[in-house]
Amino acid sequence: MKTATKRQYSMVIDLHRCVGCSACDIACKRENNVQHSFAWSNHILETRGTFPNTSFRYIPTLCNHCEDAPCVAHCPTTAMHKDDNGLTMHDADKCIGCRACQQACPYGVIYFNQERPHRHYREYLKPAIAGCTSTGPEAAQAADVPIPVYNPTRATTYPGIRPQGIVEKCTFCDHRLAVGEQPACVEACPADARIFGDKKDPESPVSIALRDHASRVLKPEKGTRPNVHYIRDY
Amino acid sequence: MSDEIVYLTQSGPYWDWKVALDLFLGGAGVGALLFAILLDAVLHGKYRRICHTAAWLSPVLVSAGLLLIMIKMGRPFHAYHTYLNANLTSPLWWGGIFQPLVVGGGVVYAFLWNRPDQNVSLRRGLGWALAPLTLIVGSYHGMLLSTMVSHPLWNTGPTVIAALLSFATSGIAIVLLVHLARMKWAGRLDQQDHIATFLNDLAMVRNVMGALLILQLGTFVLWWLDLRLGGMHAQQALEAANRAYGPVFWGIGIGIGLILPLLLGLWSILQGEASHRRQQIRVIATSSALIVVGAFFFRLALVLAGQVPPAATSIF
Repeated sequence: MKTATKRQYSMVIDLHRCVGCSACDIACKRENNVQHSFAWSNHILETRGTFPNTSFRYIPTLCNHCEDAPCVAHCPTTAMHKDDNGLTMHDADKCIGCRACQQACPYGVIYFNQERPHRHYREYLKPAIAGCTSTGPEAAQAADVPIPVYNPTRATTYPGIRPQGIVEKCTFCDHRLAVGEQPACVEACPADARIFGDKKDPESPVSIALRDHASRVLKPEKGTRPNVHYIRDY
Repeated sequence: MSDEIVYLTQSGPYWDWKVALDLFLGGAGVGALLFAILLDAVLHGKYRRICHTAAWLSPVLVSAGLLLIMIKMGRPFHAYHTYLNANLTSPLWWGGIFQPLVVGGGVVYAFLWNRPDQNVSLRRGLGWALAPLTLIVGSYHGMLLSTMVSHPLWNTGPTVIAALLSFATSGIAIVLLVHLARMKWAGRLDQQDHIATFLNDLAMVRNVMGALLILQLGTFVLWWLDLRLGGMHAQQALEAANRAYGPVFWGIGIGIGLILPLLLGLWSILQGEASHRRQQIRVIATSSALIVVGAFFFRLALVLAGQVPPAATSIF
């Protein structure tokens, strides 16, 4: 389902610059309070060939915010929707947890909260050092937050911690974009491998990068028109 | 060194046996309703008792399927959002709209069958109004899977046709099975003249059922060809599905659920009048049971196999 939007936020990942440090993954988890075993920001490791003709690739992945997003097309309640910035967003209140979006996504970037989120914090009741360190619930209680490491700004546009029974996914850090900041993964990248901006603005860094380099997207044959582009593959 | 791709996402399958059973029950339910409507319309009350059985079975089966899908949902009490927000591109939205309509209409239709001589025109009118809805819900069960571009095994045209044919065959089979059970409990299977009339009347249904089973078999061949001769992803999906669920799909779904009932029916026809009536009843009951079992396992294998990740392929 293609919808006309004012802006089309996109990301370009320069694979030649990427060093595979996973700082993007960690920053995303911290920024978005993403629980253990979920990875809004993720990566594919590919090893191919036979020695000495071998190759290794590290491909960072995240929600592609597709222009023809299958998750949006399949959502029965319009919980998954496109916004004016071209982002594929998720309305947690409308979500019924049918998992059709997860099933429809060709990239496996949508996660379902089968159990109560962040269980391991709540159930980790033994301190690392008895009488010295705190347990997870003690640390959270002391800071008056739901989990020991919690970013309250996430909750400005999406539940700070997504409840049990619904899906969740990358939002391109829409809460940061709303205050003029870049997504956390872009900020955290030590090699400046991630370029972010409005693809509809010809002078944006994303448009310039796409003009200067041949780019690729994941699974182009699915016809989803992803907005995460990869340049300088090696 | 073998090629290796590591991409850890949430492990599947996202949809399990509950979804497969919902598809089976929903399909059989609307199949049963359409069966009742067509029998009533075409043969004008010749099969009253079967129609009565079919009409009551339909809302029970479709409701059971809906209940299962509600149990499967993460937040079933938010399901009202389906009715507040329309998404015409979502098969699930269509299912959410039309399945309750079929259940509601089906219950009224079933009540009208409790007194078959009264309100005949109202019953037939309601039947004709419900008939297109049964086709929509039958197609929905196939469309739900076939529109998933992410799953090459499902993303084919024959998936929809197979679902439509399967809803018809499983609907008829489950009605015959329950109807025979009703006859046995009522002691009508001991009355020779009653059995003779029943078998004579059923000849047309048997022929229609045979034709539907052959068409279904043909659809599976087309579906297999579509994948086998398709692109790399389709071939890999077929290979992965066969490896994990081949025996269930081809063995139980096709072998036991389609080919065996066809052979039994053929054998029964060849026996002709020489065949003992009780034996014919047994053949009908056995074939119907096999079709029902096969239809469920076909859907189970299809739902689960479609979610099997294929072997490593190039990332871009």
